[in-house]
Amino acid sequence: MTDKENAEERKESERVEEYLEEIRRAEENSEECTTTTLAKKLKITPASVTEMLRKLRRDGYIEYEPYGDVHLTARGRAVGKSVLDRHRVAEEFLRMLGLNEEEIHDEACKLEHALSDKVFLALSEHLKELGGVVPLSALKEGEKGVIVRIDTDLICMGRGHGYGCSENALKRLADLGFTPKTEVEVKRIAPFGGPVEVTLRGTTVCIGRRFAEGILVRKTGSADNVSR
Amino acid sequence: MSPDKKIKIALAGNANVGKSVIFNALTGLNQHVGNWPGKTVEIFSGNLEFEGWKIEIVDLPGIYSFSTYSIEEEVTREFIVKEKPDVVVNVVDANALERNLYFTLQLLELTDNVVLVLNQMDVVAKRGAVIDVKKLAEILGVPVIPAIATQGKGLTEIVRAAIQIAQHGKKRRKFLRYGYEIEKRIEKLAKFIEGYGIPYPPRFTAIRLLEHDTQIWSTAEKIDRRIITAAQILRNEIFEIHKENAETVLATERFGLCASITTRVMQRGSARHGIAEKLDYFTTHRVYGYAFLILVLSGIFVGVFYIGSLIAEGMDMLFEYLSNVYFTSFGSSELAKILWDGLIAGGIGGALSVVIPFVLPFYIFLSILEDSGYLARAAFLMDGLMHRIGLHGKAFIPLILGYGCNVPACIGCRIMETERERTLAAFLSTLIPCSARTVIILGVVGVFMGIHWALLLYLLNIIIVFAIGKVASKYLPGTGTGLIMEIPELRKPEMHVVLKQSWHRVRDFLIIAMPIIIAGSVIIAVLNSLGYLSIVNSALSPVVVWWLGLPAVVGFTLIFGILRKELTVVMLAAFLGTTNFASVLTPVQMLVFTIVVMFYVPCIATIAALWKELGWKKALAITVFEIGFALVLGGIVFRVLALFM
Repeated sequence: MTDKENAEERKESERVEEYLEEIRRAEENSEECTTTTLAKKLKITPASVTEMLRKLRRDGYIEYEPYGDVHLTARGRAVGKSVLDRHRVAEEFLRMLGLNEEEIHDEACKLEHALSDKVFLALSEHLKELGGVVPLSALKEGEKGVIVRIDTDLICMGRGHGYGCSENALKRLADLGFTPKTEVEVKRIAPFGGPVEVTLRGTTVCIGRRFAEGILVRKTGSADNVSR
Repeated sequence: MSPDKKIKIALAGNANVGKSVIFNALTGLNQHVGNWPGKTVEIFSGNLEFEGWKIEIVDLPGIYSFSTYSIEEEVTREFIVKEKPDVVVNVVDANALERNLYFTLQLLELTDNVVLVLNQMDVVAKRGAVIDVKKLAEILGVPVIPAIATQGKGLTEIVRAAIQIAQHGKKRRKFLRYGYEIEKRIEKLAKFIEGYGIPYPPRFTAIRLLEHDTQIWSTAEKIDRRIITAAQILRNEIFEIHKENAETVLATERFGLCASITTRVMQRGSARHGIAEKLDYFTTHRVYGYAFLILVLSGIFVGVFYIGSLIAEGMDMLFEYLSNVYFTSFGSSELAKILWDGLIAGGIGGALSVVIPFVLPFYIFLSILEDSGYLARAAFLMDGLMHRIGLHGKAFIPLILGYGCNVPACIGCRIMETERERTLAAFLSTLIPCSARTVIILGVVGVFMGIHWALLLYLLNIIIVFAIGKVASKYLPGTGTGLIMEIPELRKPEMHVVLKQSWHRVRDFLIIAMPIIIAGSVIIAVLNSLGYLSIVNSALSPVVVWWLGLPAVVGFTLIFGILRKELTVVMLAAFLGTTNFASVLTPVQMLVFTIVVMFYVPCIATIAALWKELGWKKALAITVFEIGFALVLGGIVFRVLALFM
């Protein structure tokens, strides 16, 4: 195989990854995903999207009918998810390096294909430590964060007789709006290991300290910074 | 009137959205309280006549979702499914539209006949926000009525819209869809369970099963295990796709819908600033907050005791006057005595003399705290301490109420979410020395042994309540729940709402406690007049004399104290023939007597309240435990103190 062919092939596989990433993103956000929406997002003509989708279907990555919704197969999902994860890690890395937001997305698109598993894992571990993923209980009054996930194990772990661990209590957190990607602001922290008062979705809720320890957030700065 | 001009409307929505204000405005005083069978949740209902329509309005408890986290949620769901109201009026706080819509979306999965009421529109306007009501109605497919309940605005429109729906039985064709992967699985499961005879709509059931709603889950399990298997498979698939529990994914998507609807219909105004915000800062501050809390609580105590003792004095005078009138007109035969002591003064007078001076003012203060949103802040501050005895912050409220009167304290335990916590909080609050027991502590120990001994007893009480709380929380089945509570905004309480609420609670209490107090008083009056007093005393003497080291006559006062504790001192004086207890009782005897009275059993009105809130089994268990505990403790204290004093 010549170098040129090799490069060709690499480019082709990058294009496949690009598509699967975009379809996965739509799936994650529960958005509609059709030829048209893909064409718009990837900035390609609908005709070439259709051609690519046929190929992806043939290779068993997706299911789709012409003019219908596009869906990932398990195989397609695995690829799409891994590329998307890499993209996010790359974005975060670039952001830490101080690149501005407009550049970050495009640069991350290039980087995402180049990250090996080893580099990806090392980078994401490193970023988790540096990137401000902390329990909600670590935020100070007036600080804001976006919920990354709710760690049931952290809430339940080593808590004697299962404090606050009931499935229903965790559901209640979700019912009051504690779901991933929600922005929260710590308003008050009660003394004596007491609860944390949090504003989210336009309401104020107070939750026991141990719930706050299990809600992982990415710090986004204090209320002052945002309003300024 | 034609019979078909009758409809039933249910009011549903989050807590603190003004639902009850709308209910009260529509029904006036024409309402009654009922309990949902087997549950302690109150359901208020009332009637309204409107343009020839006879409308029954039911005020369902305030809830945030249908997750059956609490009894309230279960009751609301069962009411809508089983009682089939013609229309469910969903009241929402327009200022927290996004969060409120979460329940609305779930409600729309359960029934099509919904009217959405956007309440507190005045606050929306004040903040400079705008809501496109028409667009919201279009998106949801139900009528949307803007309202300002406290000013009575929008009420007529609500009723009209409800009648409209009741008449035409609106079928919504569209429903709001979740993401593709979820929607596909909801449809699959809904189709699968159709025809199994589950009493809820298939789509609603499917969603609840995917969210692992424990109750619907076990209902389905009893019908056919295959439903559960199917649901579990689909839940696993969702986990595979999203790497999150299906319930989290569904909640996230539902909130996603709420957020997108809100952005489409609402232009947000400026953030709130002003007095409410400043007060909020102050009342939850780590120093000022506690100072303010202590101020509020002592204010209430002083207020209640002051008002209470004034009223009580007045009532005593009234009854004294009445008793003179009574005995001069009916003579002083044994029967007349029994009727007066048992039925009139002891029973009716006894109940009223607790309720009117002490319980009613307490309820009014409580309602003010509740309605203003301060109670939530007190719970916030006290949560850390309450966890040490297996409860969370909200339990602080009934415990504090206990110092006034144990009855409202027990009823106040309703604010706890789970049966376990209700039981624990009610149990502990009956161990708190109420105002009647304070009379004994101060009147016997305080007067004859010095105030430091009285304070020591209070300290002993607090230590014991903490210790029992710690032990009980370990042995009660189930696990403790952490605090999850909305903090409503501070606002000026509406006096008419406060008074109405207090009145309903008092009436509720009288219905329960009155018959029991009357029956008890009559029985004791009969025993007394038949001369069984000495028999009771000698029957109790092994315990009273040998174990507790007290004079035999104390036996009957202890029995009488079950009725009304504050009278034990009076009776003790009568039996001992002197009010100078120091001349007939040793200091050890006074301490033992007071300790026993402090713990031995809540008064009969409290037992009645426990019965109502927790059922007779738990009421009995608590009563038996406390008698046993007080006697054991009294005996031990007697023996230990005898070594030193």
